[in-house]
Amino acid sequence: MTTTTAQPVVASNVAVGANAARPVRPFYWSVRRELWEHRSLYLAPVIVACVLLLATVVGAFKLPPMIATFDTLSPDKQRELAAAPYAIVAMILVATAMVVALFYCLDALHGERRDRSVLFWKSMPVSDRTAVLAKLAVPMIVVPAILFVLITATQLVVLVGHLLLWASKGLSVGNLLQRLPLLDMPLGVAYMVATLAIWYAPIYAWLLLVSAWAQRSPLAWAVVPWIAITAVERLMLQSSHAATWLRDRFFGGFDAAFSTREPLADVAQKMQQQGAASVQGGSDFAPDVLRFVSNPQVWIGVAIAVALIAATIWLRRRQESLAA
Amino acid sequence: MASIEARGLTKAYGKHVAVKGIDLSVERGRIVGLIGPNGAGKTTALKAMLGLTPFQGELKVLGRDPWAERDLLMQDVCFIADVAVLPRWLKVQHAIDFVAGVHPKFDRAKAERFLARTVIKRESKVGALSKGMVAQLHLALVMAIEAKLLVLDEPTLGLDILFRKQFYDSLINDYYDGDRTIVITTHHAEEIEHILTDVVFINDGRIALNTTMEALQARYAEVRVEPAHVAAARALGPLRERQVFGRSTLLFDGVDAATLESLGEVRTPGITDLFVALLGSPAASGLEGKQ
Repeated sequence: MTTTTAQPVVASNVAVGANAARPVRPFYWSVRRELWEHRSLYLAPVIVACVLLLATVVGAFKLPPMIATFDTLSPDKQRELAAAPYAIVAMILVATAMVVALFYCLDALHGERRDRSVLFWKSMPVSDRTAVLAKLAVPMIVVPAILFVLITATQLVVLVGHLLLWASKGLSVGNLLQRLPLLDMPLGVAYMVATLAIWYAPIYAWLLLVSAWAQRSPLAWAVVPWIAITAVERLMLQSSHAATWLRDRFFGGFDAAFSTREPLADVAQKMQQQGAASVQGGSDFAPDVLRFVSNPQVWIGVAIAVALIAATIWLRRRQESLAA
Repeated sequence: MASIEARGLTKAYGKHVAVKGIDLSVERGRIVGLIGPNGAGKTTALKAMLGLTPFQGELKVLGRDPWAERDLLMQDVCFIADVAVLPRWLKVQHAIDFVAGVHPKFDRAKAERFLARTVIKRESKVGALSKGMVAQLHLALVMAIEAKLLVLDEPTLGLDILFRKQFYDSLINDYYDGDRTIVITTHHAEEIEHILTDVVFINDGRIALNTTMEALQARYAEVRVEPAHVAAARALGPLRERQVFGRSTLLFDGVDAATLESLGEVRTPGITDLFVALLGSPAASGLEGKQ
């Protein structure tokens, strides 16, 4: 692989000698194989995106009364109102992909042992490290990439729809375009999916480890220890560090990566209390790389993920199929 | 270089010792039948050879330590664990794509040719194929790999007799070239004995017999003894005596051919009969039964 040979020579070698080793891409094909098996990884977000678009079309007939007077509102209010649908699209798709990715991780190394196909995968010249890293790459790289494309595409369709709507209502299209951060939006989405993947890495890694380890019911093994830990801590120490840590790990990803006028948790609470329509904080979020990389929780999470993945590779090497 | 070289190969699961110090050397180009009852340690020994489980003792397969270098070893070793291991969700086309994508010695055109002889459709999922077709698919994939060692652990489990026969016919006619090494375990020993060059009996984690087929044929003989000669035959110390259609059939170890010819009809014993003669009754050894 390291020797460089002129292209025509390589080609003739392959043609002449059946023994000549063909170039292979074990990692790439191991990832492809995951997508063949787990089609819900892209189908579920695509279906949700379609539903969202459908809802947007239907919703266009019942617009908030403020839209009719859009051009007369203050610029800040216009910005909030214009950006809200894009933030909602992004949030719902992220949540969908997250759920799908969590269940994927839980099944990734358990399923192949359950149906004994691990014996087929292990009969191929693919190392356990490559196999596990390919499975990790699904929630860390593939799902974020799918999310970025899907969110951006959905937002684009919503944008086109709104432009048509604005035009049909006789509102100023130029004004609407001016109020939307058109270039910052895709950048923000890319930044969001990347930072969320890093933030959730220890969760994905934990689920992969359980998936490689559990003989049955990986879901129970993934969840029950944490329930036990928080319960024991609560009862014995009257504290809730574990619960707090878990909550921050699950819901703190956005706050860690974006500077906001108010923490996302408060916004979510407000949304619950007052209904989604009243919250138009979409334009308040700003990507904040420095905030993200200077947060020790980010790096603690990455370190935990690395350790858990090392353990997962160790287990994948030793675990045999489940049916004896 | 021997394909497989084991010295004191041992494997324990907790307190249970499945393989108790096996010494085995398999030269290139041999077709070895690993025969033994369930729980004898065959599969465990094979798992060690394939890098699927750690072990104690010395073991080199194609000069490599299988546990340390499974992924490299698998470039030159193929194995079929049994027919059920291709995942149900996998499309035939994707199975070919995957092997072509990760295996440097896979010949896609060859696999396509083997598959063209079957009724398997490219767009089918494995779950939609019959057991026999899954075995055909797996065999087509494996035979298209330019491997030095092929390990088959119960490859025809649960297949009907036509598929089993076809399976071994393809293996010998389309795959075996005299240079490759094949190791097979099966419960249908009588169906593969004609293709074997070597037989290894494993019982209770140990090798009970390790012989070439020629040596086996020269050493062991089964005689359907004429009723008049039964007493004389018994005096020669047979390993085992059984009744076949009312005639005594005695199995001898190392008695010269001329003597035996005078007692009755002489033939080479089947592997299963020999196993039973050497290692006890079929019920006790479990050769025909379940664990």
